[in-house]
Amino acid sequence: MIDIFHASVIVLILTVFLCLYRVLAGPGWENRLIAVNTIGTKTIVVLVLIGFIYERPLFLDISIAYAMINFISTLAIAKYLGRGCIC
Amino acid sequence: MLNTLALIFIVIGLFFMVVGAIGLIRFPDFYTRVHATGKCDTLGEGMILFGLVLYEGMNLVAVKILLLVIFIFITSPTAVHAILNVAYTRGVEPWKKGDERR
Amino acid sequence: MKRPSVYQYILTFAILMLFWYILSGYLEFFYIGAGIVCCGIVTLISGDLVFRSDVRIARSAHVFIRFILYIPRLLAAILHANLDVAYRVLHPEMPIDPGIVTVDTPFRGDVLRTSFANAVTLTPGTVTVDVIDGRFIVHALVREAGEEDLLKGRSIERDLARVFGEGDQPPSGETGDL
Repeated sequence: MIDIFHASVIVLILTVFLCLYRVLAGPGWENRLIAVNTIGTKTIVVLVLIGFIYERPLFLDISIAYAMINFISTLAIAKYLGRGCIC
Repeated sequence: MLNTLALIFIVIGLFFMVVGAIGLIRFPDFYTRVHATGKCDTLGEGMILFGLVLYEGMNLVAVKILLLVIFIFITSPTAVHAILNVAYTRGVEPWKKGDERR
Repeated sequence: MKRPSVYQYILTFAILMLFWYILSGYLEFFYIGAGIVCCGIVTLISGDLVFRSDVRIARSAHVFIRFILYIPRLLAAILHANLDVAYRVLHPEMPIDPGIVTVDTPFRGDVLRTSFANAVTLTPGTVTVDVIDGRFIVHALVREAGEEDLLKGRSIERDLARVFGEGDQPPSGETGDL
């Protein structure tokens, strides 16, 4: 089962590279923002899988905190672009 | 038995996440790309994490992962909607059939 | 601005304490004491943020249970939507014809509108773009199919109206808040 987890992490990192192409090439801020948000959601799964591979449940707490920070930062950037300030 | 079920869930979840990334590359404009990532990533993530719950069995770690799944299912469409709303109010034009891809 | 009630503070404190216990995982005196202190400070500062002051526990619990019973149908719809998107992504000619559809709904409560927007985002071929007073602007991946679903079928709308107990003619002043 550990091999499956290793393979999953490798596949997820390859998809992160696909999204990174959209971050670098995508026309305009909106394509870049949606690609960065997608990379963040993939990172959550990678963190949980790393926690399972090395058998450290601590990584779960890190991934929960990462999910919250990802959500809040996306909302903050969207709000800044919509209103001109974070207020 | 449970391990096989967990394996099936993880493989289906990986398939959906790969499809989401391919859609992010292939689709012609911003709004259609949102369709690909907003749906496929949410379900793919939920399925991989649920497969890990099945592998782990019922203890505190599994409860934490279920909490993470619920959190993602609430917040991921909300974040996507926030980005879409800003793009729409700032005047990003939707792609029509027959236009060239952007 | 209504007067804050005791119930909203008690509910907020209980939910924060449950979350604290799940994250820490220890049932010893030191950890529980630290949790009570932290959750008490957070409740004092922002206790009126999550629940309204006129919260009615029985009605909220009723809505919550009906929403949990609605979740399996939502999951089936999400699975169908993902298979649809996967088919359109992997097809060599990409059979898409995007367009924007406007849907009018009689919904009033904030939670109900948010649930409807999230449900539309997760069901086949549609994402919510903007909400103006119950009018939803929806971007559809295939315009005709989206119009067929949202304007003629209205299955999501009817399901959510049944879940939150708010029909086609909403009674004045009553909203579907949790």
